[in-house]
Amino acid sequence: MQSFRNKKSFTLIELIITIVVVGIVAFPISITLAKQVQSVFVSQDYIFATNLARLDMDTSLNTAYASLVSASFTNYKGYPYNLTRTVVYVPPSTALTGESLKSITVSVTKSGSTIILITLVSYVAKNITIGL
Amino acid sequence: MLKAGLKYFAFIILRLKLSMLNRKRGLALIAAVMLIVFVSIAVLGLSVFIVQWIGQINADQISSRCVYNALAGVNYSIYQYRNSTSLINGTININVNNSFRLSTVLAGGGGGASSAMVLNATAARLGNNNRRLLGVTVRNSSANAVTIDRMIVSWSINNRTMSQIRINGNTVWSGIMILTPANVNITNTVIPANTTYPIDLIQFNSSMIGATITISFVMTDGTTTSACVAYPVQGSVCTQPAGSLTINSMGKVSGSNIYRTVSATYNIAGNNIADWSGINAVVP
Repeated sequence: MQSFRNKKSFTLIELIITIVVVGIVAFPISITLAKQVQSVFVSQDYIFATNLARLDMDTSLNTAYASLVSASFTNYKGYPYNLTRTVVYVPPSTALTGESLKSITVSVTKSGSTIILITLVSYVAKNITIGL
Repeated sequence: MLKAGLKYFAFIILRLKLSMLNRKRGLALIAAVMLIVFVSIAVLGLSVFIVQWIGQINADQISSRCVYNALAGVNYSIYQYRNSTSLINGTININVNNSFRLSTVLAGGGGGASSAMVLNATAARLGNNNRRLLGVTVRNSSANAVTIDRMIVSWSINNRTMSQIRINGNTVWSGIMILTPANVNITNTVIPANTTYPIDLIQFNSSMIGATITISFVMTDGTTTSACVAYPVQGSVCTQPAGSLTINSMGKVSGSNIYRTVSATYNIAGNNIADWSGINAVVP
């Protein structure tokens, strides 16, 4: 019996207090950590989505004006992201002078999700060439 | 402050630990508390790093949006100029979240050989069932001969085509019918000093009533001079365009103080953006 009362061993109260303290502190820490880890994955999605949106926007700005049309892509360029390009005339479309302006809007979502990760918008004028 | 707090905390822990060690109790609690402290510090550090990283990604996204907003401004400015020869300045909203701020300047003439050229379109008229532009003249006002290398003709009715140009009795270009803007390599035409040549005709495939026609001569030294005819009837002449537009367009995203500015040079005669680049400037 004397050996069970060895002062070097843990008491039940010690263990209970320890478990309670660890439990109380570990709970918010683990939630915080889980959120941060999740946000790392989400931020990678944002990076990918931004790069894909830039790619499509640059491609669109270098496309012949008449060929510039709305389109939707599932798994754009083989990546698990869906891209939607919306092309509309910017009012007023002045048919009288033959000049016009198109608005290009490119949005990217993760495949299987409806949350838009990025939206880029720009205008392109008719029959404008770039370069000397 | 934080450092002093940590020191005080460490001191308390040490005292507690020593006290418990003396009594040889509470070792598990001490170890657990220390572990929690270390884990908390690690999580805090990781959190700060991740928050800053995400902030950087967000700034990069906004920056990209600003660039495309600025490019939208460049195209918008050119569109407005081509549409009504008006210079647009001030803030334009693309939508509720995106906008651009424009500062557009009409640059001077082409210089070089072109500065001696005077294109006169005040007597411009249409003939041959309104399919020919007639009555435009070009004068070399210098004491030296100049040579025209190319012509750029553009017009505002897009489905019309051009098939022939005749200057001073000579057909300097003819060919397949081409659409606007027509950048044609004409037979080099030398205009003697202080001499006026008529541009006898520019032939189109259909009626040009209602059109605005811009004629530009490109000299052998690369400089350009232009004239503009609006709704070609006798005496109806639009403002003669200068060499180029300098467009500064600053893209903005609402709720952010990030901006990106693009400076573009638009060649009016050639109808092209000769150059554009990002500049570190605020458009007022």
